[in-house]
Amino acid sequence: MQPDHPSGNAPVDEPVPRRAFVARLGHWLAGLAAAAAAVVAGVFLAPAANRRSRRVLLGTDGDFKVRTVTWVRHSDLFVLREEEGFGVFSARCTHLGCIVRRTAEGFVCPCHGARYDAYGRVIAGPARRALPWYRIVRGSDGRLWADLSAEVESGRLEAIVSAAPGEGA
Amino acid sequence: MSRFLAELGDALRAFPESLRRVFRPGVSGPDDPSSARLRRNLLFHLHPLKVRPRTLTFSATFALGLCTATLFFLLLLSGLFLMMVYTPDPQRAYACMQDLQWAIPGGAFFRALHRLAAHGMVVCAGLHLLRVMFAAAYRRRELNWFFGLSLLLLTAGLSFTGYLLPWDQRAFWAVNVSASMLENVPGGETLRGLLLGGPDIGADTLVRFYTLHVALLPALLAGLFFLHLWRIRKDGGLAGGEAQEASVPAWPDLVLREALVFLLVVLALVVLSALHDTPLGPPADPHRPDNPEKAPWYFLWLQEAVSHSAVAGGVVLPGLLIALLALLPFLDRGDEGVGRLLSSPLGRRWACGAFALALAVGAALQWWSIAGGDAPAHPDLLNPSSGMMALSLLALLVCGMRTGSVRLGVFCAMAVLLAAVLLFLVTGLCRGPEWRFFWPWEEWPVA
Amino acid sequence: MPKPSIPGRSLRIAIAVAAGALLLALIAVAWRALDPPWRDIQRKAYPADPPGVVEIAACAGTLDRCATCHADHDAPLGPPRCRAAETLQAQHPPGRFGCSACHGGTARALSPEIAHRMPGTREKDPLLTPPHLEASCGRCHVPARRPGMERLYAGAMKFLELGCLLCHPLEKQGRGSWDFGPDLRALGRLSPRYLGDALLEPTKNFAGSSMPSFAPALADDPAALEALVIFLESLALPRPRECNQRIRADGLLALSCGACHAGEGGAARGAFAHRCDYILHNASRFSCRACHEKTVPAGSSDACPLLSQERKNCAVCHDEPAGGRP
Repeated sequence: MQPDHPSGNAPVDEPVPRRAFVARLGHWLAGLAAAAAAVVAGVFLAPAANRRSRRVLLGTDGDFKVRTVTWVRHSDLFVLREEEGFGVFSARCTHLGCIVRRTAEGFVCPCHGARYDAYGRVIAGPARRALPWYRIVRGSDGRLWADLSAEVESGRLEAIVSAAPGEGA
Repeated sequence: MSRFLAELGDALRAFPESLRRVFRPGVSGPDDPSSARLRRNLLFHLHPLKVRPRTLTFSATFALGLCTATLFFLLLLSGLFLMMVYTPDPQRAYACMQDLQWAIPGGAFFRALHRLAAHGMVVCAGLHLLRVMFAAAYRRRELNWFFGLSLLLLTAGLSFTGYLLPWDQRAFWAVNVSASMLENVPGGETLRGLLLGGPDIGADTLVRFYTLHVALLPALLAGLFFLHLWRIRKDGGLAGGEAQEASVPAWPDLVLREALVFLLVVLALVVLSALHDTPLGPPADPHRPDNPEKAPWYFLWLQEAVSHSAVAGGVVLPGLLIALLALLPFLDRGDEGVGRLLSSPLGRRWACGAFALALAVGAALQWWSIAGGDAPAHPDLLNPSSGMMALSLLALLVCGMRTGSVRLGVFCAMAVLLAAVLLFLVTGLCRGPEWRFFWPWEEWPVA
Repeated sequence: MPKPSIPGRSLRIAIAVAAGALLLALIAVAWRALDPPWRDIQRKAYPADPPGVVEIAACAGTLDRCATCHADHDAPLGPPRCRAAETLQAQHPPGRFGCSACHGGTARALSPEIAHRMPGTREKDPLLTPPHLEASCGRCHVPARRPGMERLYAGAMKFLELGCLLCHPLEKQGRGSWDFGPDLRALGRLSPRYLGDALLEPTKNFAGSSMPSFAPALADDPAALEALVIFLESLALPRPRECNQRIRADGLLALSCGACHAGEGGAARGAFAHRCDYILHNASRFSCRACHEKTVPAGSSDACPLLSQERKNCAVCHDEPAGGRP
């Protein structure tokens, strides 16, 4: 219930009477306090980490054969390897975040039927963006890592320095 | 000594009467006026003293509000029991569900009761809203219309938060998809973080959803529910009684009817829960959704709409629905026929016509989107959802112009949107692996 | 004397009827809750002292309640005598492992129709019994040549030999060029009959299947077919997370080497395949450990020890230690 302001009846050009001013000030301050309380609550509830971990381990070269796509289950990534090099892209559908599956033509999302080609580019369905590709790097131990903070152009294979001793013998 | 005994004897003799006085203070006798009964009882206080007979007939309200309230009561009750055996921890939640479903005596009954009552509450609240809308009963009851709308949204929120708790495949992925829908609205990323408590659905999410589901949302809903009832009294009873109609006392005419509906709803739920087998899917796998992965039926239309376009189907369509509902009391300012379902024959014809037309057009649009090979150039603009929204605006204009009534225009628009919801729900039911369309008699491939 | 009409008389009668019906319904519900089927079984078996619900906190964090109805296998209620008892009981005492670890089912459930089914099954399937019981070994052990899991091992080798992996990914191990068949680990449990049909006549279960028939390889060899079906069954069984780490590490090597090194079509042309056809065609006679000493700790992402460190074993077959043909 709105309290009845005397100022409501007063002519416009008259200064606001003090009592009405104090009452209005009280309303405003209470409103601001409520907003501040909401901010405090929001800060309390905001997750400590709202990003997935940046660098994830994919494995060794031996895990990925040439001309194949491998699903890295623990971090929802696909690793593509061809003669030219490696590519790593997300298995998370850009439409609404389900995990896509392999099909003959590429990938399909079981949730809403978004379809992608073998390089994660959209063919049909509700998705608008291609599956994001990430930079692939070799750690000091020789293993392959994906750098999720660095998105790269879709379909760009990186021929990272081939690898550990004895590989491909 | 003898006086002590005499007094004790009197006290014992008067015991039944004293007991009665404790529990029903102030009752003088059987010919107590009925209004006094209402005043004395806290629960009856929510009723007006007198009601108009027309609002008592079944076809005036279909008792939908009361059914919703009864189901809410059952949900609170069964929910309390479920809380005693459930732990909101991803390691244990699913095992708790297995125990509840298959080992604890009566566990399956309480779970079925809770689930069926939740579904029933969504249905009853939705139908209640439709009834009030098409009866134009929001007129002069704007505040209560908003209370009702908030109650419906809270009901949907409770269903949504409760859906995650079993921690099975369905639960996990339905919530994952819904949370991802937030990414399409401005500021959604922050909202999603607040809701999930992290970048992905995990232990934090489960605790948050649990707290929302068992404490915050039910408390809000209960508070609004009492405000909703209180406003009915303040607004002078239900809409639609004739002003000059002689009113009858709420006790017993209203209260007994309410008691009967309450009992019948509880009976129906108890019988259904005893017979019904609640599904429990395989445990959640955060790296692999089922194929197909379907939302609960009351969100299935949204999932179908979202499969056309995340923005048009997931944000604009529900936004338009809610906006139309919220604006309704401001758009429609006519006072005739309030409280009677589609009172004018003209309106009935228009609304039914629009509904039928929308079904046909929607089916054609769906067919085009399923069978049509090439995707259109602007899939976010050209899809069945946006088509239905355009049709609904068209219906608003055409019907409004031809009948000269804003109310009928909005009704036609709503009828079109309802047809869209119904149609998308049916199509959603027919979706198989990879969200491809299969007729109900067609076999799904193993995937 | 006619009574004055009481307001809402018919309403009151209806309320009384509804309340009565509700009472009856609730009594029925309570009756059913108080008298679950296992009580009836126990009353017959132990008229004097029914033990109530019996729980075994089995390995891998499962809670096994099977013993509520199936007490010790010597007790009157027991199932047909547990045959694992003679051979494997020393390593797998039922008191510690429960029944469901080998026989499957939903161990937490107390109603027979649920307890005797796997969660998420596509069709009604009974519990695992010999010879299909061997599939359960695959839950914790990866197929190896050990007493008790010969068929499972033979099936796994057949699986590699026929090149099933080329189309059917097995989680991380799917790596063929065309791996678009369903993931056999995620299919849910299918009956042996269904799996047999799927191998011999794939279109029988699902008309639109594009899988080739494996009848040429399997129709005349029922033992191989049975072994392969057992291996396929094992893939669909849930894998307990907390299995003995040593067992898993040991077994994992045997399968994961084969998964990569069998090469495309089993013909030893793959980049990482061993080039010796003799080894591939006699895969069942060799374990990878015969040549490769280094094992991979379970849970490590390093899936494969590099060949160069193990070359010393090549001399077993080859004249030159560098891997040239003899």
